[in-house]
Amino acid sequence: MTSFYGIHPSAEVWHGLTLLHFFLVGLAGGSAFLAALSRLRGEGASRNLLLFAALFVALDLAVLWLESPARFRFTHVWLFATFRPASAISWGAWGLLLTLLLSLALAFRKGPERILVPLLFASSLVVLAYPGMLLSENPGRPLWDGFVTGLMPLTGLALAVAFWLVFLRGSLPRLAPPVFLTAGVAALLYPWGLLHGDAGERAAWAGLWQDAGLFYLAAALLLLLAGFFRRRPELAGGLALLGSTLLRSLIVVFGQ
Amino acid sequence: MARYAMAIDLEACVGCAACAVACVTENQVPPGVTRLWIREIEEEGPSRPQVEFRPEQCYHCENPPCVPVCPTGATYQRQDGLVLLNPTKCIACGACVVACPYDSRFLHPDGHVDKCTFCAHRLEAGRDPACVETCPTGARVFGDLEDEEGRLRAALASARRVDVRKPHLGTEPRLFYLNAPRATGLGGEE
Repeated sequence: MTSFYGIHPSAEVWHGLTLLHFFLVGLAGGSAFLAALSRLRGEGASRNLLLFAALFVALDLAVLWLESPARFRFTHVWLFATFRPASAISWGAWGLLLTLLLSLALAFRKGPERILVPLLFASSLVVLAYPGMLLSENPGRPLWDGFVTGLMPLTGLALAVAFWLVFLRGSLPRLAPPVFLTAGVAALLYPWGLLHGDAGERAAWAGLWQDAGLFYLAAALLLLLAGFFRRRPELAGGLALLGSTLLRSLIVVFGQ
Repeated sequence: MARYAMAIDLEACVGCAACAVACVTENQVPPGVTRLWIREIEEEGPSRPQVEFRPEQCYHCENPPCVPVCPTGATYQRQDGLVLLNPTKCIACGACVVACPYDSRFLHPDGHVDKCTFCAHRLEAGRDPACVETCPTGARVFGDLEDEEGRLRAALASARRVDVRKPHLGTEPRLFYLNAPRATGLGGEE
């Protein structure tokens, strides 16, 4: 039996709005990545995709500001007064800012595309990758193992592709099935890896499984299922949107 | 340069929580949060139940995971080993709270992260941390690890057993637990 005298400070500092951030940052990074990839391949990305990428970044930054207990202390200015390579959040802050500026510049044809598109490609990769980096750099949180570094960008990309299919109805079905299937398979491999990890990882997975195992399984299956609806892109997008959102949220909530 | 550290003799600790109260008073810690708390672990022993009173706080690790994750440099490590936080640079992103494997950090109601400082302000005045000074059984010892003749090194040398929390993480905490009641070391999740 363990009890405490005094109040044990809770480590659960990330709540509802933080989950919204993890959702929006995936959409932002994924949308910017798709737009940059499309232009790099000479397909001429939809202007809407660039505008949505900028909108998602702006919304995400607004959410981050809103959820911060320091929002009226305006200390966030320090984020952009320095760059700290060991900090995932530092990468994320600069990645988001650059993605916002580059998406807007490309959408409104301001500046040389030959330079801006590769830069957007790089900054979108940073935005896609940094949530996974942020989670996996915590040695005391065994649920967030190294696998999360790959799983988060994958589900972020799946979010953006799904959003495209549902709301923008673009011509992306060729890309969609492999993205959804890869994310679904990765989601199933993740617990397999944890179960073959150390005692801490096994206990972390057991905790998630006990409290929300069915939701996790459903999220992974939704992503897999989305990969098979080739002729119904909107349905596939809806399933993938739901699966990716659920998966990312569960990993963040239960990893703390 | 001094290398500050603390030791707590678990055989001497009676769980009175005077240290926790002294910390609140000294550092004006607001209600609802705390820099120091006492974990009470009751386990079956060979012949009778064993109770371990274990005060917990920031361990001022030699390799603190909270420092590199800070995006603004608000959390930093001094040359004397103290891991401190500058509230005016803290954006309360929570990265350090999550990074700390010992859950020693928390969000202060004023909108920044907070934690134990080993009473750095008292050290500058040549005094011990408030928790050390107030401990009625003398379970806590504070000092300089570099000082071979000092009381901290003496306490470590005379202990039957010395443990740190979660040694496998490689953080090298600078708060040592002496003489854990269990023969195998610290109780609970350790």
